Amino acid sequence: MEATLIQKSIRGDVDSFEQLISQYMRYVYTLALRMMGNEADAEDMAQEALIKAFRSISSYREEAKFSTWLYRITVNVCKDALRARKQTFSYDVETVPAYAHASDSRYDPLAAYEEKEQKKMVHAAIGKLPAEGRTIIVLRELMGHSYEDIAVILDIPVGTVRSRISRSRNALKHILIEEYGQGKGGF
Amino acid sequence: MTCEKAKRLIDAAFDGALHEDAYRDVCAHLGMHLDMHTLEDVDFSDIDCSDPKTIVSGEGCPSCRAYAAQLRTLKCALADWEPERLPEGFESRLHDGLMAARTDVPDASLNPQTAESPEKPSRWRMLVNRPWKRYSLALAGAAVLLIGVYIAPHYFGDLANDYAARAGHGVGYLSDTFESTPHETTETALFVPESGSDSDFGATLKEAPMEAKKADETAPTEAAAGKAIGTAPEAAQRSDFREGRLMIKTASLNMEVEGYADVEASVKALVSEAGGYIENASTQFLEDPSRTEKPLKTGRMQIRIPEGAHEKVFGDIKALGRVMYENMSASDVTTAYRDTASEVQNLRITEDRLRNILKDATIMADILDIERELTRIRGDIEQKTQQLGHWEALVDMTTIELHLVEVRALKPSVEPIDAGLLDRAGEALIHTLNGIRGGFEAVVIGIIALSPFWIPLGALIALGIWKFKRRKRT
Repeated sequence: MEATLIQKSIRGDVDSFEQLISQYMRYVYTLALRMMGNEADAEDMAQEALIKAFRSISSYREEAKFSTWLYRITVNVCKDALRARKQTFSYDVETVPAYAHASDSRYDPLAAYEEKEQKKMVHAAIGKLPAEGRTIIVLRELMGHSYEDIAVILDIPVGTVRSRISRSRNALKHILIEEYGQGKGGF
Repeated sequence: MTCEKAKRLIDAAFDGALHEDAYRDVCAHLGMHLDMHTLEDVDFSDIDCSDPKTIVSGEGCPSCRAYAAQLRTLKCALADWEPERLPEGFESRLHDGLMAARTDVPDASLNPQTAESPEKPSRWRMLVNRPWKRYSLALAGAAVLLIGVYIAPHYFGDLANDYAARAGHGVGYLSDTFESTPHETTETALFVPESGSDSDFGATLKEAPMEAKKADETAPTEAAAGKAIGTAPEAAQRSDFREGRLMIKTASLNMEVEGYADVEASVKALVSEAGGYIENASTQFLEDPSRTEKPLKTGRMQIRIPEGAHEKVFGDIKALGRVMYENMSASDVTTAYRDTASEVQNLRITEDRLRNILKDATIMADILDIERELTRIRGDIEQKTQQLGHWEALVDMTTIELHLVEVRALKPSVEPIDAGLLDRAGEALIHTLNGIRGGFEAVVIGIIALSPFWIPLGALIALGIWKFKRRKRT
């Protein structure tokens, strides 16, 4: 199915391409939002990445997953924009991500509240990581990519992915401990 | 297994990215029983977040167990992370963008859809669809209007000037400023020593951009010929990055001097002797040279002195007049320099890797993609290398900003009344009268020029008043 949509997209069929990317659009936007730090830029970059993907879809090879290829374009577009601006990275802490559900603890109001607070803390702390750390956490934790896929998307060796993930998580823990104190929220 | 190694591997164990042996070692270090989690299920995605003992039960290294427990908490907090919702209208804007981009897709001509009348939406529609961009457009429009309103009087003023010039009066409009541009002389890099160590530096500064330009010119040609391998310009291949601390020093000096020309010559001699050069210099008359026999001057110089010699030159220049202001400062660019140098090294590694891939590439689309990426990386390397060179140049040569103001005498003295005082007063009166006349002419020209607007407007107003009065009377 995906292969058919790709072939049609190569021939310039916009509808097929839209169908092809429909399941990835939110992830592309989330990735851009985490890298750019604000919604306006994130939308611009996501649009640019998706249009760029459409333009260069003929160069897509099936060795990699389509999603991996698409996210790689997104990362490159954002990196180029950030490099052009030479800006320091910031993140709007107000933009707290949505949650699917409150797991089993939703039946216990206090536990649910604590869990929600803990998630808010963690997501706010992710915003304080450098762009490199934010990107890799999004790719691993939100998108669930394997280390190999992340290596392809970011164009770095798998060993670097491993150390970068470990470093970013460590940094995240330190931020949480510094911001909210030892022992709070399980850290 | 050391705790340090274990902590590195715990992350990978949580992500299911460990081989069996390593996973076994981590389990042993943590005091976990292997049968608690099968190796097929090592990514712990199904762990029960409400039970902290799920992972770190049993005996093992307490520090690493605590580390794993924290990681588990983190993973649980991120477990049901949902992607962001798309902004409103995202898909429709994307559709517009894709429709516009469709013409760029190589095979688009084969698609029946392309036979439709081409839409012209894209950027403009994307622009006006965004509220904040709409407001920006409105503000820009208002700004243009304001600028127009501001320029109009100047335009009519210029008309008046032209009219006066054509009438043979030759006198400016209203503000007749005698310190106008013809009295100002500007020299740029007017003084570069013929020999000495500094000449290399000057050459470096001038040649670096030229080499970069050459590289830019050659790259596309060679890329088109498929010969991009091994053509990296020499200028960007440098790996001799500086070691140690890098400080950029700057100084500024404002001085009052007697005999501007003599002081200027002395400064040039001092700079030359120290092996430096004057990067930029400008001189301006403080008085109208047509009215004063020896008009006073003021000037600015930007001097570059080799690091180490600048303090002596600075002191010598200070002795040439009365110092009104002096300042010396230094800024440490070591960190920024090192970061940029590392980036350049990484980019070169990537570039080499891409060149190797390009050697084996056979598909034209791949070759084009790699070459595009190579061009981008080469551009980055050039840009960063130039920045590094710029920092090095600033570190090597201290900049002194010198501002000289000429005075008649540094020490106070009684000066005789100028013999031409009455003549100068008479000239000033004539200037004032000419100014008044010019102003009057400008007003007349303005009224006549704007008549197409105010005559119909006045007629309409008069008609309105007449009708109003007539109605009142009836």
